[in-house]
Amino acid sequence: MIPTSDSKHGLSTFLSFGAKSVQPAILEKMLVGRLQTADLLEQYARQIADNGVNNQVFIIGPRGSGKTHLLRVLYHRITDLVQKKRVIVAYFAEEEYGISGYLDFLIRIINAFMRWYDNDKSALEAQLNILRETPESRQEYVAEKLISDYVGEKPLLILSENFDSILDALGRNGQGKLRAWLYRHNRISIIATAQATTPDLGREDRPFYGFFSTIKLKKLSYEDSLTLLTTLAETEKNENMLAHLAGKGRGQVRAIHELVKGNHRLLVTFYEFLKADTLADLSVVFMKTMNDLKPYYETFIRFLPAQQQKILHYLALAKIPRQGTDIAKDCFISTTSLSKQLSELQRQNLIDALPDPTDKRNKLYDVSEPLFRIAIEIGEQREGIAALFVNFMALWYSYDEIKSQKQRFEGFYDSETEPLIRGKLLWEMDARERALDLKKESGYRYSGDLLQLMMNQLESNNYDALLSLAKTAASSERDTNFHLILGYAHLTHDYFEEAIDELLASLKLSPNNYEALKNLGIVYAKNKQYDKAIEAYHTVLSTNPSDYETWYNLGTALSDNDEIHEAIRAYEQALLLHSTFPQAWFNVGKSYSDLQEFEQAINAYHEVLKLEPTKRDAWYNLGIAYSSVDQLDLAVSAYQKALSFETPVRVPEHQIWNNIGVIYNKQGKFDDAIEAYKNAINLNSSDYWAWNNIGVIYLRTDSFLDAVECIENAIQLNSQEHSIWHNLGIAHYGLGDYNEAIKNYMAAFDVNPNYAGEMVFIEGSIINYLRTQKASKLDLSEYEVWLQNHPGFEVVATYVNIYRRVVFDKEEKALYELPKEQRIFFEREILKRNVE
Amino acid sequence: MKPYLIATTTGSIPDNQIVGRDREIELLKDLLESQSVVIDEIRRMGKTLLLKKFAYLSVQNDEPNKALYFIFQGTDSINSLTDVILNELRQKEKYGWLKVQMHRCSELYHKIRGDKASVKYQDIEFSFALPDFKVEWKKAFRACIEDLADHQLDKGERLTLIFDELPIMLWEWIRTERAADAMSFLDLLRDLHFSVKNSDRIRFIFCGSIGMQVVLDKLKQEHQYTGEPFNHMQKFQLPPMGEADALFLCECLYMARFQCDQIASKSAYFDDIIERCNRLPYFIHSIFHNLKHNAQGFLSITTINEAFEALLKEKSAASDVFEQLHQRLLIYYPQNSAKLMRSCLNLLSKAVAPMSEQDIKMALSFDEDDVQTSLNLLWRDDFLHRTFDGQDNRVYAFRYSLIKRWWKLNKA
Repeated sequence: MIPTSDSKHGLSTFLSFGAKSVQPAILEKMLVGRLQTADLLEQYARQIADNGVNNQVFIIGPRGSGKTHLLRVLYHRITDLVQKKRVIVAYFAEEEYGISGYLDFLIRIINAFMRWYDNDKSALEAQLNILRETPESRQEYVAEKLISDYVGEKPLLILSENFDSILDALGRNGQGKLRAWLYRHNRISIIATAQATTPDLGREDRPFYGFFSTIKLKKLSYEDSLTLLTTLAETEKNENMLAHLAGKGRGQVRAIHELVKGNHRLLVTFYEFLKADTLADLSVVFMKTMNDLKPYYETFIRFLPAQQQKILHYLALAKIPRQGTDIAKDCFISTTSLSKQLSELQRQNLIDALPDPTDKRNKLYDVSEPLFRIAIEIGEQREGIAALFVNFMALWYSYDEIKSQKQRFEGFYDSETEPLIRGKLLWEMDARERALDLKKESGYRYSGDLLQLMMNQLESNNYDALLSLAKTAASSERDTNFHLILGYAHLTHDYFEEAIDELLASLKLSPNNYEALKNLGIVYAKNKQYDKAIEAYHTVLSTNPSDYETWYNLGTALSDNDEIHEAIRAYEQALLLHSTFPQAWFNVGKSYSDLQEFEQAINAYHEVLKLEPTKRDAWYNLGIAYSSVDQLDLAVSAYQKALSFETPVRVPEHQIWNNIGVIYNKQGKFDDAIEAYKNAINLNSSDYWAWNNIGVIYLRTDSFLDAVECIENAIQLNSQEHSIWHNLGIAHYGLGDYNEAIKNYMAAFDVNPNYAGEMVFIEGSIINYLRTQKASKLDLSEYEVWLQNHPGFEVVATYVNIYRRVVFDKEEKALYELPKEQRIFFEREILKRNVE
Repeated sequence: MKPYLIATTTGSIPDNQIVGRDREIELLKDLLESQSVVIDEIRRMGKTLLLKKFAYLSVQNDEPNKALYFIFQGTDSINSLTDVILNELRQKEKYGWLKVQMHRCSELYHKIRGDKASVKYQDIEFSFALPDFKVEWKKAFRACIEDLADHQLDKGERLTLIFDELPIMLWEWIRTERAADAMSFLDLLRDLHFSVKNSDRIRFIFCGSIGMQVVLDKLKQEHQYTGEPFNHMQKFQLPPMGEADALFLCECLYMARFQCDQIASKSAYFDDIIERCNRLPYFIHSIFHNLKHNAQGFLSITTINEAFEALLKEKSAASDVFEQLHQRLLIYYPQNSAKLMRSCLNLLSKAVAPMSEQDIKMALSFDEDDVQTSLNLLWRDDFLHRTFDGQDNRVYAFRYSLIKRWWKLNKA
């Protein structure tokens, strides 16, 4: 078996973007950005031969990302294995059309043997003839056997492109058969490529679910792009180009790199762009290139379902991203099928979904590649390709750049006398004039000023205008600072999720964008994602450890994450760098208060007050801290300080009066306490705690009627506080009004059933009420209903029930439902009978 | 045993390279001494490889009680079933130990086909996947199994027939409106079990990832099927790899040109990897694949952490394997049940410790009986692990911490 060779062509073929028939040496040279993957695949193939293993690999990369190139390189690299029959290779050509089922797939393998192994062709052909004569129901088995017999004990390696399409064509049943065969045969490996992930590998009910190890081909970086183009120039021995690429051509490479989105094949195509010496040449090359690319892009959409084609056309011609609702309406597609089609197009990397800055619930959709848009437009432009060049310029260059190009052409035009050249220059000037008009018409701003305009809107807090500006930004304008500004705008308007998306986008483009990282920490903290906030702050501090603001922010995030000791350390770092930072001292105080280390807290608050003597929050917190260590007079004077200034305060004044009242109460200064609570009520008539607290003072002095009056006021204002109901119960009990007391305790229990102590009050007061022999039948019925609906009150419920039946219904025998000892207790203690 | 190089990729692995599982194979043999076995386990847990190794070793070591592995996936018609067995027997016959006379098959073939074709078993024409056998498929399948039983009786040995991916085949039949065929086949399997039981020469292992119970539930709910074809069989649960097996797997994978930042750290790294992968071989493979592809096969604390981050947070073949747990709920259970089961998993993924059934009921705003049913289904379908606390209350947790973390990060 000697493999057939078909690799005879050189660089010119490569430049027409076909890796299929290019000399191996050139393919190897052009492996920029893919060398590591090629090495890995070779390693896998050699393991199959040397170590008796199988390798099942699925390589995913968009069109033109170098998949064919990789498989060709792999095949060439393992020629020695193939020639020595150490691995039998079935190499499927890129366009394996015509597979309609499992049998077809097997026949493709036999065809591949025939194509690549000339010496075995006639023998295999004879076997195929036998297969043709075999009854249909046996053909799959015979084909499997034919392959098994051909490969014998050797491992079989299937190299296949577009394997996603093959799986699709096989269908679930065919895939099932293929998988079963792979398990039965035991020595078959597949190294396959596809443009996108396929549901056939990712769904649990599909045979090849989780079967392959996947390798995703990454887009080329700018550095890779430059290396690839330099390698092309070296291979061409184009010294001028090499010099150009080492100098001012780098800017052009960056532009082309962005335009082709790191796509291998397109980058090679645009190599010709670099040869354009003048701007005038650029337009010629552009038009030629786009004409060449049209069929290439057409294959993107030719095999798509009609609805997906319609969506792609629509988005390409729309020029700016569109919402799903617009797409559904304008393309006449129902919203239910639209979402399926959009997600399928995203899966195939044909469109991008961008967050809609104006409405967080929506997404905007855009075609993924700028060139794809232009290629689609070629067929739609009435004016032909010239109008597209205008579009291209409007898309790619900033307003100022086009303006400057136009001025240069005007200069050339004025000094040129040759009519033919003058005509050409006039065309170029006109093209740029139209590009400038287009930019204005389609809402593009002067590109260079975009960020400034956005900043202006940000500074004037004009959020909606800023978002409108952002929405019309061209993809090339969405740079790191664009996302940063947008992220900051979302942050200041509390759209945290959107802010996070934008800041991450900013960092993706520029991982060292300090401001983006810093704001990302802030927004994570605001969004209560404290772990991530802390991580972001630490990254900022690793770059700039003297950023005291970030130390402070780190402290607040740690504190919110209940890492109080760590928080204090962070605040202390901030204070080491900036000792006159009152808010940091304040938070140190607050943190020590949280840790119940009040002496430390008091010291910190004093530091705050040295820097800001009128800071009422600090005086207030100082009051709480003094109160907590029973320095009550100091606490009162701190609270009074807090009341004496007119600076802003987070805690309402009535709350401060309330706290003063609590201290006076603690000190037994009841009149002063009542006065303080009344001050609180005067400042805030709905301060139910103040009313309750006055009531409690009256309870302490056995003034139950006054207590009832005050606590009822509190209940009027808030009936959902357990302790207020409870206090009212105590007041009524003090007045001997057991019935009311019981109802108050029951209300307290309903508000907070977790307070077990309330059960004791309910049971005790009911039994005491029964003992008074004054309970009415109605009271008892009400209690019974309540008690039956509250588990845990079974004993007292039984007493109430038996009391009602014995006393009011004269049902004496009901007593005998109680066990003897309870009956004796009941008769003696509750019914007050003489029982022996 | 000396480590040998194995590939970092998943998929099919040659029988002689399947790592470990000797303990599980012995357990399986013990069970088969007395009865047939059903193995239900979610996908990518290593069922097929275990069974293939079991069958391979039984032949390789020339054990008196051998096992034969058949895979039923892709068997799209009921009268192809017999051919799945016959085709495999043809392959095995060349090894000499399994020369089955196939008297009953031959007789049946003659009877139906007359003189149309030779009945020689090795002859390629000898197939039951022909239109003539459409109505006689049961007889053909029965004849084939009984021929095998006769053969074993002659030799005085017992043969285990492994039917892999049986439930997925039945599921596909149900999905394509051939539930009646599925029910007939299940009934036939039960009949066969009893008819060959007397000779005690044939055992079955039915294996599959979607769960026999799921198939039976579907047939019961939608096609009024009342049979209990597996209640005479023992259920075998495939545990994660033992520690020694998992470490050996790492050693074998490491041979595919990996290196450590410090060689002294190698065993610590392996311990870390197997612990974090819950000793599940698929995920150990996935981590090594990731290290190979993204870190050029270089093991360090950082690269291992990155590999786990990628495993849990990025879209990949391995993440699809986690995703199956979510998809299983959607594919195999009615919408309402799936929703409640998802809520249970969301809650448990965020819990720091196992939760009692009572606490789960309190935390979820669903009907308590429904919650109980869902937890039971999740336990039965191997999502959850169930224990009892000191008061005999049922307590649930994720069966695997790796899956718990993935669920928390991606679904909860």
